[in-house]
Amino acid sequence: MTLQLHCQVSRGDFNLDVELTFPDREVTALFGASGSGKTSILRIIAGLDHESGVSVFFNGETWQDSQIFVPAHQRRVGYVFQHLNLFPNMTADRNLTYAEQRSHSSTGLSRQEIIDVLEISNLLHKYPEQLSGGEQQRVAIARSLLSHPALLLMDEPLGSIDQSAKARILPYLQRIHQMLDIPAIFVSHSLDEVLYLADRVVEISDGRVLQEVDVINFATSEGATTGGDAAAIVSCRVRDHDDKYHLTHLELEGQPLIVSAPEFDIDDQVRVKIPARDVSITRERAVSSSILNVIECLVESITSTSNEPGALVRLRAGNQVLMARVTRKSIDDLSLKEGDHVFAQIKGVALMIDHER
Amino acid sequence: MMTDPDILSLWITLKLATITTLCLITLGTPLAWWLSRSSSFLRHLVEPLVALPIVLPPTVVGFYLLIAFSPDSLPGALWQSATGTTLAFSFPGLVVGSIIYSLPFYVQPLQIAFSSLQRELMEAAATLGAGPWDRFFNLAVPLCRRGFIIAICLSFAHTVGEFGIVLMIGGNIPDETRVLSIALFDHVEALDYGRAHLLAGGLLVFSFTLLLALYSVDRHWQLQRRSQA
Repeated sequence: MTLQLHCQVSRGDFNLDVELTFPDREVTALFGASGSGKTSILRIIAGLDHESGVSVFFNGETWQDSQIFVPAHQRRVGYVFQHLNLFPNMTADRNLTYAEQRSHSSTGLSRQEIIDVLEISNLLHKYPEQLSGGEQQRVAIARSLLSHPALLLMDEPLGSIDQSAKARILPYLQRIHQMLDIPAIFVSHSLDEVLYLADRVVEISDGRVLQEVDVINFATSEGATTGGDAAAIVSCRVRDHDDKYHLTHLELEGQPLIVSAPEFDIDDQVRVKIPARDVSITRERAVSSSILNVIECLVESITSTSNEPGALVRLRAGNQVLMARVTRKSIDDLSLKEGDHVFAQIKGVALMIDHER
Repeated sequence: MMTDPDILSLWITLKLATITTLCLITLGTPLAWWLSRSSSFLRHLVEPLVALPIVLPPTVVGFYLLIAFSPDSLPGALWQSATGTTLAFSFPGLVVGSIIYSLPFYVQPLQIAFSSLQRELMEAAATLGAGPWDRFFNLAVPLCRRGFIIAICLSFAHTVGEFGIVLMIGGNIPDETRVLSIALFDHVEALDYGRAHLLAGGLLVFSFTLLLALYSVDRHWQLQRRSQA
């Protein structure tokens, strides 16, 4: 059960040359700058653009090759655009009905389940123009799910909504993915979205694939760490809840990590995002400090350029990697070098956290 | 009061405008769709061709149609061999002339409406499983209903008020081709101003009422959308 794609398309001075396989049930992020070809890939998969030099195979069916072109309405894909998704002449409810009447399959989440998980029941009687950007996207996602797609494609689904609405909608997308057993591909240029939602990341640049990795390795790769918001993703087990302080004890490679995560059950395997800017480095374990989380690590590498004050330090704790954003001065003061034994102090307990799939 | 010949003219006019509008809906809609979607070279030729009746004097269009309708020319000969009658000075001839003459009034508002359809909406419908006909009838048509209403009203009203072209190709046959505007012309010629007033005033009131209805329907739709909050 996979999607396979070969593209050798040239449009004027832009060439798209990719060969990708998308595994079943995984959320893949197509990550890259705008104009890199991410959206083109998604549109080709959906059958919205008919280019020559393309083959698309889905679960043993040929959607496109040199002879065959299955049009978009027969491909059983759900597609969420960046904006302008909903039909403006219909209420949210009728938008959903439109999808339901043309549903690609008779099995899948029910209308009520979808309305509940996206919490849109109080929006149904409204017209799209009466909804906020975030609300419109939630209804649009609901509508694409109601058509019971075999593949979910989302083009910057959170691209046109503001930061706070984005933070509210991310958990919905999370929940949906846990309920669905279809592959999903989304396009994003936001590292946060990718780290939060994706299982696998395909980094695209200039019409080519730079790297194809799982999200944990992606977080610490070069592409993800060049921007200011580098972060590491670590995998932890939930050990117990501390009811007195409303904290949760996790275990990271045998070491304790204390976070605020009351919604998880004991022994759940979770993913925790630790932003590099929240991590500082000490030579000795601080004995009396307000910082709760101190992880023993080895310095794996130090990346810095002489024209910036900051440096990015990769730290290894067992099989996992943390990252710390520190100043070059601190590195010199601590005379930090590769292979050193250090302690990573992690500020804050409000870490972005979710279930591991 | 309206006399029998005037009522007959009214009937011919309404019949002509209705049939012409129905033909325009059938022929003009796909043409407007194609013009709004195509990027081919042919489109740049067809577009001014459709608009031509707006700028050409009706007598010019009428003159060429009259020539085309003659049994000596190909269209006229084809019509004659198919029906045994001539197109010139007949009601079917008037319909053909009216379709051509009112074409821009139907196609242009609709083409504008189709062009402003957001591509994403049609694509979203496709990914939801709607085929091309389904997308057109259940999404494009309702989204463009304003364009349709304007196009239908304008082409209907324009056909009702047609004069020059009718005179050229239809002549003035009482129970066949004498439309209201021709009857009005006859009354003025005969200095029968009373009956002329009746027809002219009637056409004026009709046109005004039609436009009034058009504007208020438009406003009503917008208000209706807002109030359904």
